[in-house]
Amino acid sequence: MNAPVIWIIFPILSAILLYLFRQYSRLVKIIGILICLFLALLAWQLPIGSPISLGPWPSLPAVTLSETLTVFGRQFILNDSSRSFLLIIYLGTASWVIGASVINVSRLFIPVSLLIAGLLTAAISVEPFLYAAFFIQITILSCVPLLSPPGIRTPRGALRFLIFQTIGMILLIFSGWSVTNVELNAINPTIVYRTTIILILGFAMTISVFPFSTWIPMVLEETNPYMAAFVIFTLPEIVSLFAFNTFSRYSWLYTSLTIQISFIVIGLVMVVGSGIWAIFQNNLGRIFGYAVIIEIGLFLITLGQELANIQVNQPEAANLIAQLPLAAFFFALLLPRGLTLALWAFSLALIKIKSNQLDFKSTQGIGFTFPVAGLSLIVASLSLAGFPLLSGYPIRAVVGASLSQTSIFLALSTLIGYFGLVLATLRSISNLYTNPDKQAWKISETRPQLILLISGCLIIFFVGMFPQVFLYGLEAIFP
Amino acid sequence: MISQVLDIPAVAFIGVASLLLIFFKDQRIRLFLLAGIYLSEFFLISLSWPVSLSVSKLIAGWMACAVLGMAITSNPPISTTGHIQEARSIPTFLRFFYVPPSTIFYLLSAVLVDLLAISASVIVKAWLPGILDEQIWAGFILIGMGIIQLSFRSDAFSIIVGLLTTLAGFEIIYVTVEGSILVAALLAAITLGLALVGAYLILSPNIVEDE
Repeated sequence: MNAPVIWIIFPILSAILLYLFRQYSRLVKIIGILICLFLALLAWQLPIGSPISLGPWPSLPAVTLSETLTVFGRQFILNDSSRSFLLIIYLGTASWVIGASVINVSRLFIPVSLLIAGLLTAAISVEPFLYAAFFIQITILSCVPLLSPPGIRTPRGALRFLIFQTIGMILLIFSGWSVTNVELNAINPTIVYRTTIILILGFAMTISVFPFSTWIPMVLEETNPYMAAFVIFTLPEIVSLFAFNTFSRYSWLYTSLTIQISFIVIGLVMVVGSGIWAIFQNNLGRIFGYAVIIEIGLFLITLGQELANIQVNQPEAANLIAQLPLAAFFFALLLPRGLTLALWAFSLALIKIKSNQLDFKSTQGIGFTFPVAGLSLIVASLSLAGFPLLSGYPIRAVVGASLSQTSIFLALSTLIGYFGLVLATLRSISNLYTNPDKQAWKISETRPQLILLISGCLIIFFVGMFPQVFLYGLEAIFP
Repeated sequence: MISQVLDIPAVAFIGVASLLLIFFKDQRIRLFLLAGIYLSEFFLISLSWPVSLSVSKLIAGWMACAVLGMAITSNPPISTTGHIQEARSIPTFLRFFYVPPSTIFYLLSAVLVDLLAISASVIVKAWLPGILDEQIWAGFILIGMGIIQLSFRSDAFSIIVGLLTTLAGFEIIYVTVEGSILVAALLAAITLGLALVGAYLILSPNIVEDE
C-alpha cells in the first residue's frame, strides 16, 4: 500500500472512469461525492508510515502505508503531516461536488474536479518541489472545460486565463532551475536579481496578482459562476502554498526587503483598487470577481507580513500575524474564504439559471423569486467585506491590526477596499429587491438548494462568532 | 552531426515560419508552418539532448498539430477576404503595390523581436552555460513571435498556436540546462495537453450537452 497511489493515482483514474460514464449523471454525482468523502475519511483516519492492524486478530499482519512513490527518479512523498492538507483538499472538493449536484452545472464538473484534486495533491507532494510547476500546468489545462463549458461561445476570460497561467508556469519552470543556480552563485547580485524577477512574475501570473487578474471578472461574467469559482478558489490556494514554500525556503528571497514591501504594496493596490472598481460594476458576476481579487490582495499582504517575520527571532518583536501558528493562519484564511466563495457562487448560479445573464437589468427584482439565494448572496458579500459577526471579519481584524503596527495609513487603506465592497453589496441589494412589476414573494429554490443555502449562511455566522474554533492562538491577540 | 549542419537553416526557417504564422489566416497553412517549426526545434534540441530523447519533442509537436488539424476540419474555415475588400477601395493602378497596414505592423514587430533575440544572446550566454547562439536566437524568436500572436489574435485556435509557439521557444532554451527524462515527458504532456485543450475550445461551442 502506498499513500501517493491512494491520494493521487486513484482519484485521477476515478476521474477518467467517471468521465467515460458521464451520461449516467446521477450515478456519477453519487460516486463522485462518495470517492471524495472516502478519500477525506482515509486522510483523517489512516496513519501514513505507521503499522495499521487489520482487525482484532493478531494473526493478521499489520499493514504499513508507505510514504513514497518513485517515478523516473523523482519522488511523490505524502507523509503523516500531509494528512491535514489531504483532508482539506478532499473535504473541500466533496463540498463543491455536493453543491454542484443540486444545481445545473456541466457534466464535466465532477470528473474534472476529482482530476484537479488528484493533480494538485501530486503538485504538493512532488520532490524536488519545483517540479510542482509541471503538475500545476496540467491542472490549469484541466480547468479549461470548467471555464468554457460545452455549448457556449469560448469566453474571452477563459482564453486570457490560459495565456496568463501558461506563461506564468513557463516562468516558474525556468525559475526552478534558476533558484538552484542562485544557491551556487549567491554572491552574484545580477543572477539573484534576474531569478527574483522571473520567480515573482511567474507567481504573479499564476496567483492572478494585479495586473494579471483581469480574467477573473471576465470569466465570472461570461460563464457558470459556480464552476468558475471552484477554479478561482482551488488553483490560487495551492499555487500560493507553493509560493510560500518557495519563498520561505530560500533566505535570499525572504530576507529581501524589496520583496516584502512590494507584496504589501501590490496587495493594498488590489484591495483598494478592486473595492473601488466593484462600486461601479453593473453585473453581479463582475462584483463577485472584484471581491475575489480583494481576497488575493489580502493574501499578498499576509504573505508580505509573514516573510517579514521569518527572520525575526524574538516573538515579541514580530507582528501579530507572526504570533499565530503559520499553518493555522493559512487554514483560517482558507476556511472562511472557501465557504464564502462557494455560497456566493452557488447563489449566483441559481440566479443565473432564472435570468440567463447576471447584469443588473436582467437580475432586477429576482430576489422576490429567489429570496434565499438573494439573502445568501448578501451574507457572503458582507462576509468578504469584513462585516462583524461574519466569517471574514476575524481574519480581516488580525490583518488590519498587524498592518497598523507597520503603518496606520496602510491599515486604513484596506478599509477603503472593504467599504467599496459594502457599497457594491448595497447596490446589489437595491437591484435584487427592486420590484417594478409588483411581484409577490415566492420561494423558487428546491429543498436541497434551500438546505445548502441556509446551512452555508449559518456556518458563516458560526465561524464569525466563534473564530477561536478555527484560528488557534487568536484569543492571545484579542483576549 | 546533421544537427550541427542544419542549425542555421533551422533558425532561418523558424524566423520565417513564425512571421508567416502571424500573416496567414488560413488555419491549415498555419498548422503546416507549426509542424515545420517543430522539425526545426528537433534539430536545435538535438544539439543538447540525445536524438532518442529529442525525437520525443518532434513526435509530441506533430501529434499536437494532428489533434488541432482534426479539430479544424470539423469546423468551417474562417473567411480571409478582409484584405481583398480593403484593397478594392484604392485605385486600380495602385492595387498591385497594396500592402495591408497590419502586415507592415507585424513585420516591424517581427524585426524588433529578431533584434531583441540577437542582442540578448550575449547576456543569456553568460547566464546559461552550454547554450549555443543558434538556440538563443531560435528560442527568443519563437517566444517573442508567440507573444505577438497572443497579443494580436483573440480566437481560440490562434491563442493555442501562440502558446505552442511560445512553449516551443522555451523548450529550446530549457533543454540546455535540464536533461531529465521526466522533464521531457512532462513538457511533451503539456504540449499535447495544450493541443487537446485547443481542440476542445474549437469544438466546444458546437457541442450540445444533454440534460
